[in-house]
Amino acid sequence: MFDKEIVEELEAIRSRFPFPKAAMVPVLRRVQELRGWLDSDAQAWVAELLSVKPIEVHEVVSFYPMFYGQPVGRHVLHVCRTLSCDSCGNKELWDHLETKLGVDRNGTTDDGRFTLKAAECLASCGTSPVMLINNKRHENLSLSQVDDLLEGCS
Amino acid sequence: MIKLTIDGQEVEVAPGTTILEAARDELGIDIPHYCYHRDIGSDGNCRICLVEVNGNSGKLAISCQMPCGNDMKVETANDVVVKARKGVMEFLLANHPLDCTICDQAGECPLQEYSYEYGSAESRFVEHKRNKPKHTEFSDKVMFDAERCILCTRCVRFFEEVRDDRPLGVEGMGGESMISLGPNGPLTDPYQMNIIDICPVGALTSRDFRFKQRVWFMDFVDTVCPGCSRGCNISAGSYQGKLLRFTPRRNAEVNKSWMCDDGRLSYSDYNLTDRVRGARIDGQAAFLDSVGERLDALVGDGSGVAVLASTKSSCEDLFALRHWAESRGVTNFWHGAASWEADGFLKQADATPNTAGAQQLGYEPVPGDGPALRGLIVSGDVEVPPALLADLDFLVMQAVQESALTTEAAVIVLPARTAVEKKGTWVNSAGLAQAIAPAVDPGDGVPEDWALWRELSKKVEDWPSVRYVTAEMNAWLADRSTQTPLVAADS
Amino acid sequence: MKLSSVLSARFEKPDSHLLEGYRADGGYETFLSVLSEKRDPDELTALVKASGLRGRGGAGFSTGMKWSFVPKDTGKPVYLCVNGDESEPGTYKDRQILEFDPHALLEGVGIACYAIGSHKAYVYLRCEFQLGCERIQAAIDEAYAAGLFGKNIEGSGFDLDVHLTMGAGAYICGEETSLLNSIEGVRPYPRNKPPFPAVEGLFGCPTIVNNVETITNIPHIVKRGAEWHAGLGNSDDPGTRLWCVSGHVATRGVWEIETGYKLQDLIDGPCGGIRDGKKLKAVIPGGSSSKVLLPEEVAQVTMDTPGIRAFGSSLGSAAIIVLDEDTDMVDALVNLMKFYAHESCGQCTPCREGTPWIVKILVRINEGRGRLEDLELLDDLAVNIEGRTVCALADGACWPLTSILKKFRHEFVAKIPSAASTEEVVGA
Repeated sequence: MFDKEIVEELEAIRSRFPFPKAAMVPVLRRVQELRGWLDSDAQAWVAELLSVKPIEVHEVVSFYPMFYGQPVGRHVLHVCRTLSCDSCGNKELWDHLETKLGVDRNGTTDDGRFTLKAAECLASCGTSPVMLINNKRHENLSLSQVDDLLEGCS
Repeated sequence: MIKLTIDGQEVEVAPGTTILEAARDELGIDIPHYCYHRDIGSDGNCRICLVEVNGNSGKLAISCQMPCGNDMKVETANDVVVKARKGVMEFLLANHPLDCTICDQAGECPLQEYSYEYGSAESRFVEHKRNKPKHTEFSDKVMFDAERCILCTRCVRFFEEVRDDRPLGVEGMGGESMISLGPNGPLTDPYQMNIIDICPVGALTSRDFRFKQRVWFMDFVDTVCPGCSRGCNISAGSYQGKLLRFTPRRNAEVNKSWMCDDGRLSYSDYNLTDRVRGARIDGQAAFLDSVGERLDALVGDGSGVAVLASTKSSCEDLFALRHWAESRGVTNFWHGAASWEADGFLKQADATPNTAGAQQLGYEPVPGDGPALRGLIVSGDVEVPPALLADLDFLVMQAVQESALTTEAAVIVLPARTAVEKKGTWVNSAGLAQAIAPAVDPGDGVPEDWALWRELSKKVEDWPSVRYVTAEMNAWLADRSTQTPLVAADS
Repeated sequence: MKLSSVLSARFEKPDSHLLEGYRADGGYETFLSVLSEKRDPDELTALVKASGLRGRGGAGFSTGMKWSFVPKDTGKPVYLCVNGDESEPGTYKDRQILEFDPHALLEGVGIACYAIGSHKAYVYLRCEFQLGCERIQAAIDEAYAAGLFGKNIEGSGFDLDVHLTMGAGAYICGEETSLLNSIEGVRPYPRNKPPFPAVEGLFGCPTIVNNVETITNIPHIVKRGAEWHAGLGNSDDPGTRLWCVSGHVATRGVWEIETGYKLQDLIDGPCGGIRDGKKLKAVIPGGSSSKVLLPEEVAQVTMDTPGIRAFGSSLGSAAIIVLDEDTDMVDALVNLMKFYAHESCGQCTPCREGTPWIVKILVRINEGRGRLEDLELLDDLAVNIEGRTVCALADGACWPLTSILKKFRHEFVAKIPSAASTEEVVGA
C-alpha cells in the first residue's frame, strides 16, 4: 500500500513505544494524511503493522472526531463552535461557509473540494474568528480573508 | 484478613475482596449491578453498584471494583445511595425503547427487575428518544438491538476474557456508541450464544427462541445438559410439554456460567414423535407380568446374554437394569458410545452425559469382537453395532423411538425415556455426580426406565421412588470400593 | 497586579523555539547541573512539594505530592506523560509554550523524569496543534542531536528517551487516565481509580501525568528554590501562571501574572475592559468547567484558590471567558452543554445519557418550548450526575449548568411560556 520510505517512517513511529499497538494514533494520523481518509483497506493494513485485529483499529478510528472513517473532500475545514469562538465571530464564520459552500455540518461539496466540520474548542479562544484548513490554523480572520483562503484551495 | 462494616454489620474478608463480593457472600446483600458479571469481571461503567464509603456522599464508589479496606464503613442502601441508584436507573431508561411488550427478555430482564425497586412509574424524559438499528443479525444465532443496549460491554468482554477473541467491539463515541461487529463477519464462535444470557437487557437475543414464548408461561427445570460428558448445568425450559430451550445454570466447578451452542440448541433433539409406548411381545401389546415371564424364559441361566445400555441412561436406570439382569445370571454389561469433536473449552468428545457413571456401575465399553451371543438386551438411546445382531436368538429393545429394530427385529419392545425426561444421577467425566430432573413428561405408556426394571424385579415396595434406588446403588458401590460417592437425587 | 515573565520571558524573542537561543539564555543548565551534581531525586521531589506548585491542567493537585506517590523499586519502568491535550473551552496557554518555548518544556521533562526515576517520557499533544507538534518534534530532535537526550547524557549515567505522540480530537483525552489509554492505542475511556496512575498507569507501570505548564515551571523552581516559588503570589496557592482571556473584552490574550491578583484589574487593565463600551454580564473564570461569576463577584474575587473558592468557583485551567450584557445566557449554556455532550466518551451511564438529555431540555427551553418544572429537573439531573461517574468531565458539565441556572434563572423563566402543559410545549 505504501512506498518503502513511508513504511520505514511508520515503523520508526512504531518503535517509539514498547508495544506496537501504542503507535495506533500517530500511525493512523500519518496514514490519513497520505490517503485522505481511513478506508477499511488502510485500517486493515495498519492492523497488520501494529499486530492487532482490524476491529481494534475500527474501534479507535470510529471514536476520534479527527479520524475520518468516511470519505472527505480534498480540503477539510474545521470551525470551532464552542462559546469563546462562537460568541466572537465564529458563528458568523460558520454561517458564511455554510451558505458559500452550500453544505451543512459534516457535509462535502458536490465537487468533492471541501468538507465542512464543526469542531469543539481548538485552543484558539483569543484569536477567533478562526478555522483549520487541513489542520493548519488560520486566526483573526475576516470573511474576505476566508474567501481568499478557500480560493487558494484547489 | 480485612475487617470492615457494611450496613452496620461487621464482616471479615480476604484482601482483594471487593465490596460487592463481601456484601454478597458475607451478608447475602445483592447490590444491583449490570456491567459486573462474576465470571467476566467488572468494567465499572454502569454505575448502578455505587455505594457510600466512609460517609463520602459527594463521590460514591463502585462496589464492584472498590477493594474492601480495614475499618471501612460502607452503606449499600442509605438515602444517598438509593437516590444515586434511582438516578442511574432513570438514565438507563431515558433512551431505552418501550419494547417490553415485544421483547423476548421480558420476565427475565435485570433492567425490569431493578426498575421495580429503583425506577419510576412515570418518566421525566419527555424528549425524543435516540434511535439506533433494532435488528442487526450478528449471526444466524444472535440478534442485536442497539436501542435496547445499555453498553455494559459484557458481550465484548465475554469474548475477550473467556474466549480470547475480538469478534465484537464498541464503535462511535458518546451517546452514539454502539456494539458492533466492525469489519468482522458474523459471529462464528461456538460459544456465542452465551452473550444472550449475560446481556442484562433484550439487546442480544436468541434467534432460535425469538418470539416463541413468554418466559412466565413456561416451566423451568434445573437439570444437566445431555450433550456430552462435561455435564454443564442447565435450566430446561418447556411449554405445554414441549422443550423450547436450554440455558446454562452457574456451577463454579463444572461450567461457570457457560455452555456451548451445540449443547444449548440440542433441546430440539428431544421433541420427538413416534415414541415407543407400552410394552409389546411379538408385536402385540402386553402387560409387564407377561413380559417378565417371557424375558425370564428367554434369558434362561443368563449365559450368552449381554446387556447393551446407553450412557444417556441415569445411574439409577443402569443400576436397576443391572440388578434385574444379574439376578438372572447375565454377566455381560456393556455400554455404547457416541462422539463428536471436542472444542477445547467445555464441549468434550464423548457426546453422552453418563459414561463415567456407567463404568462405575460395572458397564464396559461394548467390545469390538466379544463373545458369541444368543440374546441381546438393548436399553436406552444407544447405537447397536450391527455385528452384535448377527445370529441372535432374541433381541429385547427398550427404546425411545420406533425403528426397524423395534418393529421388525425385537421380540420384546419396552419404552424408554429420553435424557430430558429422567430423574436420577449422571456422573461427568471429572467424576462429579450431578442430579438430573425431568424437564418434560413423555405422556402415557412411558414409565421411568428404572421403574420398569423395578417392576420386573418385583421391588416396588423396596423402591417406592428413585432415591431408594440411589441409596441401594450407593451401598452397592461402597461394597465395590468405588472412588466417588454418588449424590442422591431429589425426591 | 504584577505581570511576571518567568514562563513567558522568551515568547516574543525571534526563533525562541530553537535550541540555540534557548541555550544562549541559559537553557538546559539546570537540567545538566542536576545530572552532574547527582542531585538526590527524592530531594528534588521534596523541593517541588515545598514550592507549593500545583497542577496547571485544571485539577490543581500538588505536583510534588503527586510525584511522591511513585513507588520506587517495583522493577517496572516509570513513565512521565506530558499532557498537552489542551481542550478546555477558553484555554490556549499551553499552546504558547509549545509554539514559542518548547525547549523550556523539554528541560522540565528532563528534570521531572530524573526526580521520579523515569527514563522514558511521552509528550502528548492534541493533533490540532500542527505547529506545536512540529516545534516539539524539532526540539526533541535538536535535543537528541546535542546529547541532551539519549543514553548516558553528558556522561552522567542517566538515560532519557523523549517521544512525541498525539491525540485525534477528543477532549476526554485530557483526562489523565484517558490520555494513558489513548497512548496505549485503545479507545480512550478514562479508568476507574484505584488503581492510581502513579502506581499502575501507562502499560501497567508507575506513571506521572503532568500538564505542559506545570512541567515548564520545574527548571525555574529547581534553579531558584522552593522558597522563591512559595513566595510568588498567594501563599496558599503560590506561583506565576499563564491566564487566558477570551470573550467580549477589547483585547484578548494570554498574560502571565502571579496568583492572588484581582480579576477586575486584569479585565480593566491589559484586557482594556469590555469591548464596544458594553457592560459586563458574567465571567466563567476557570475554563468552561467552572462556576460562573456575576459582575459584583468579579469585582471582588482574587485569583487564587482560596479566593475563588470563597465565591464558590475554581481556577481550573486559568481560562477566563468574559461575557457582555448582550449575551443570551440560555444560548451560552446550550452552547457549553453541547460541548460536553459531544465530548462525552460514552463509557458510563450518567454522562452518556445525562449530558445529551440536558442538551435536549435546554434546546427546548431556548426554543420557547420549556416548562418551569424543567428547571428543577435540570438541577436534579445534575445531582444524579455529579460524583457518580468514572471521570470529572460530567462534573465539569454540572458546574456551568447549575451555576448559570442559579444565577441567571430569570433568563430561563423568561423563555418559558406560562401555564403550558407538557403536551403543549413538547409537541408531537
